[in-house]
Amino acid sequence: MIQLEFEKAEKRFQGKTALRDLTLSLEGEKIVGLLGRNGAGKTTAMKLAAGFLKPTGGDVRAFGGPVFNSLLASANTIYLSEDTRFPYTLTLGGIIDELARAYPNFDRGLATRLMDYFTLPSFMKHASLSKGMRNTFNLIAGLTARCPLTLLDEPLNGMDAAVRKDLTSVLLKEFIEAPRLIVVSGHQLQGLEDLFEEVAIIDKGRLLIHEEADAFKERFKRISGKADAVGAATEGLRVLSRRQSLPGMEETVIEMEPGTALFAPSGAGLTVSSLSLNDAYIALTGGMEGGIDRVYADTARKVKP
Amino acid sequence: MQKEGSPLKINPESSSPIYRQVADWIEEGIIAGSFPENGKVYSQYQLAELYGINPATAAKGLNLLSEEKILYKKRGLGMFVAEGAKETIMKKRRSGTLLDMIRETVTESRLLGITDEELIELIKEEMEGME
Repeated sequence: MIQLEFEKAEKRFQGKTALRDLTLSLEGEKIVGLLGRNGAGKTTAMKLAAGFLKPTGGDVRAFGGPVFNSLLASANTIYLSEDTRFPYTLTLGGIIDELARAYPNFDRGLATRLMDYFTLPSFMKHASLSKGMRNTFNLIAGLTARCPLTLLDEPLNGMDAAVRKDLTSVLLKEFIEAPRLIVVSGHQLQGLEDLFEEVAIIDKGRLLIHEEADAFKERFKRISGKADAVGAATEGLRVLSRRQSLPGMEETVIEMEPGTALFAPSGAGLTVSSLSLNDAYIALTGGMEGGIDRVYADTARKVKP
Repeated sequence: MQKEGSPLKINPESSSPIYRQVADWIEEGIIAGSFPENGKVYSQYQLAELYGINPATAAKGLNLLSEEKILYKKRGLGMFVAEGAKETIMKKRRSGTLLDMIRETVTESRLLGITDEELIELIKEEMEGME
């Protein structure tokens, strides 16, 4: 079974620590969302997993050993991001030829059909593509290579909504067709959230949460109602945000411990709803006390009545 | 926000989890007769594509129904609708909804300061009025 393991992985770049002490184990054929804010260390983690970078501390292992300098690992791994560049002299068709040579499971027929569908002419040069087109091509290449370990770094960036929707379906169909470990990183989810079986969230170079996506989502609740009733129901719980809605009314977002249920007396007039995975993720990593409102509260700003 | 592109819609903010929503949809299909007794229901992969969700989540929905004896597994063939599944679902839903309504009524009447005896009296009057 495919396994990707970070053990106390650390990566420093000239005095700047991009990743510190990351311990995370991903196992089996599944789609995992690797989430975190900009600068959290996602790309560094992905590049370590791909063997593009050598850890300055700890270990990153897959396919029976450290991935850095491993031929076995690189033959079975593909990493693509919007920054992935191919040689200037190659056309898209030429890149496909090279990928087919490098990766034994590469489905060339499918790659060609997908390129036709997304109007990517095979005679075009990679460097002359727009950002969205480049990412579309990279994602097609990344998926049709059908590598046991597929690393997609912010795959849907810069695409329009229709293409994003289609490529989300492609990702799902590809996973069903050829199950593998697909790690998708991003600072936003853009409709991929329902495809994740697990989420791993990193913050400031460390693992914050690694959990089944369903279980993660269910731990976050939005409770609204009269301020004192909301206060009573959320007492002792981890409150992520609290704001006044109508006068005397309050809306609170809480995070519950795994395996606990919320006690909200039905007579207290409380409305309890779940958060989408995206909202839960934002609520959790939004971190700044009071949010953006606090910055404005400090200035002597007059709100017009 | 609804998910675009998939024929069926998941409500991401519903308090019932995605796998429960999938299970509910199959239950409704059984009640409506779209999935007849001893007929095959969709596989986890078909459901995953229909909803645009992870196959593991879809499988959780199917397993939930199999635990509730609404579906049964045929090894290597998939999931099938159990005999009497329709009645099981209707019974389950009736008792669920009705109990919720009773709970709400009791809470509301306590909030309004109505005694339990008065409430029972009110219910009796209402029943007599309907006869």
